Amino acid sequence: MVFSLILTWYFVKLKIPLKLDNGTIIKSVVASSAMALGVQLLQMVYYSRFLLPLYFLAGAALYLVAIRALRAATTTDIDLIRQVLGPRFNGLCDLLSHLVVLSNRSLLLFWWPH
Amino acid sequence: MAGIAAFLYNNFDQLTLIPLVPLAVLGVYGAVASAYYAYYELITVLGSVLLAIFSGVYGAKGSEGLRHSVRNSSRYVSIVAMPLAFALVAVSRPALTLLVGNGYEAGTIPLVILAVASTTTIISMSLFPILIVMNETLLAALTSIIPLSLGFGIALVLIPVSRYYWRFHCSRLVDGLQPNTNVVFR
Repeated sequence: MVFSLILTWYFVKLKIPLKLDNGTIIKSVVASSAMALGVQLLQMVYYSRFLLPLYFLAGAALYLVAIRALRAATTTDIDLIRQVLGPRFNGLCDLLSHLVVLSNRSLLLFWWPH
Repeated sequence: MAGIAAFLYNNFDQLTLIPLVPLAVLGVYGAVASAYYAYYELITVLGSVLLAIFSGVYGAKGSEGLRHSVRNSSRYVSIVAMPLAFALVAVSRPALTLLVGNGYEAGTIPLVILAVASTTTIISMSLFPILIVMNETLLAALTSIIPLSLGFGIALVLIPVSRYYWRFHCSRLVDGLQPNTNVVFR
């Protein structure tokens, strides 16, 4: 896998000038690492193989929080998902938009002194 | 050709291990391999989707359009697939013990090694279809043939000389260095 990535990267770069979205890749790695760390800590507190679904749910929640905190996703991303999934999943996309996208207004509310 | 290559890739590590480890250990190894391939099939779906998208973009806008598409695809692929790899790292132990039994707990570390190595596959998933779309099938084949031969060579040297316990992990490590042949010969 590692060798393959290096070779693919090299060959593609020979053909077209290449630019990946490094910022988002790093943010998703950081968010995913935070999620994995959180789930590991949860397992250290209480481990049972029957709690696997709970670990998954906790991981998903942690990932969404991390993605939101790092501002990795934008409304454009959610709109793209909306286009791909179709109008039947509008409700899900709206929910995802509220959960993941940190708008300027919510950022202001977050930092506003109470 | 595709079938033979895929069979050799999927089984050469297990064939190498047969004379070197007891059957019980080989069973654990098989469970790890099955768990990993189930996850791998899930993330290769993204590659198939991108191939169709890149074809459309290349046909309409040429290589300039492809350049922008690579940036976007790397963004979406990393947001969607990266947490899957890390989730597998985090829940490898409960997943193995719940789905196949407590006796398979020894497979946790090899599964973690594979899941971590698969993060590189996630990134190459947004690059690899470009070679196919641009009709560079020889280069696309080389991205699998070179690492596969290299991995096979390393496996033949590393697995027999390593100590009993590490033979198990070495074969997974070598596996992590290679691509999945199915993607190329599909």
